[in-house]
Amino acid sequence: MKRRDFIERTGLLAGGLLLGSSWRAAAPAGPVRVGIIGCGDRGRGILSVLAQLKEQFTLTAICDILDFRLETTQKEPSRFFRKNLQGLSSVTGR
Amino acid sequence: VQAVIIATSLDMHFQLAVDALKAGKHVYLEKTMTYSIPEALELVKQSASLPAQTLMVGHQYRYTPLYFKVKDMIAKGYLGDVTQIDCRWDRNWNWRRPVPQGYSDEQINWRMYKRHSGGLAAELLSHQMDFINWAFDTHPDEIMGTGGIDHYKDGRETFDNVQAILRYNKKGMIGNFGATCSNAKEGYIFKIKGTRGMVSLLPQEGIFYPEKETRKELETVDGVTGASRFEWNQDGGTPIMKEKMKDGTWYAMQEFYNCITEKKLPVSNVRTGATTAVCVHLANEAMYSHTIETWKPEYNLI
Repeated sequence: MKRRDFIERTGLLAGGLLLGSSWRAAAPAGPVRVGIIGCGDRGRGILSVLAQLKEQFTLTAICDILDFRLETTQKEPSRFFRKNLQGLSSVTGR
Repeated sequence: VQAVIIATSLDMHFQLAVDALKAGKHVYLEKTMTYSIPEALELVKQSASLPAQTLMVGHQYRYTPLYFKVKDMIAKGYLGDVTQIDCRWDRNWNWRRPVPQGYSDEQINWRMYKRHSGGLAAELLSHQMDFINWAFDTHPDEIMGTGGIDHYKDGRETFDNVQAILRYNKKGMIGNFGATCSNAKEGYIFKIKGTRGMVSLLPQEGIFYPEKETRKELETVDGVTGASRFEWNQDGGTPIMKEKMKDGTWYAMQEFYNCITEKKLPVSNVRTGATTAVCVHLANEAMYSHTIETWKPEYNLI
């Protein structure tokens, strides 16, 4: 067996084993990029908490089926998050 | 996007959570976990097949250090044998939000509609039901309930006045869970009553009331050290935590981050979330169908 074949096959095998075990995805480096689906009172309440945890979270998307909620949410005190913020008005349009 | 927070109406929780998990996202899913029992059981399966992703359920009060401490006090026997739990979550307003022009009442006030919401039981009482399941490592065996649209006869479908009695056979406890939209005097009540003492909880504060004999013991132990460890307030209670807690969501979001980065299973996870969702649905079934609901073996998830 050629070395390359060996690596490819064992690589596949390892991949299969990992998928079948309880091994979990690699930890993200830096803040977790988070999107909020549902920007009513509760969604915005959570947003205001995330705004206090800048080391842990970066808000990258907000989503709601009601346009006025997206508009309101974009004016929240969490505006420092808004670099690259996407506002999606449809949950199916992700 | 690596993680999503799902804070929609209850009827959307399941599909959004499944879609987000399948898209490789970590999920913080608001309580109640799902609209129905079949959805709860299915989400347990879906989450188990994607163990690399965190699925945390938003029973946020559970995450305050106060509630961990109370769980610990129960385990260490501070309360003795607990037989009674009293929970209320009352308010005196119609529980409606103003509807902006161009939107329907159903879109804004989805909590009033049965096809979107589990009403007061799902939105409020679920927190306390969840804590009891977790703190006592148990679930109810029998659920009775009653309720009505008793004050706000404004076309709503979900009850504005509810009461459920949960019977916990293994622990020998009765849990009383009630909510009304028509009196705000007592607001939030959460009392856990045992032979040695009672704990009275607010979302961010807690008081321990020892029974007479327990108080004597605590004071005797105290006398040995010569230190005045316990300070009793006028009605015989002592604060469980020295300082007031932050809002539960603050602790919950820290935990969400830790679970994602340290690959931990959340304390409020898909299995505990499903157990509580089952409690809520059985309570609603009992209230709306005038039945006594019993726990089934397939609901045993924890």
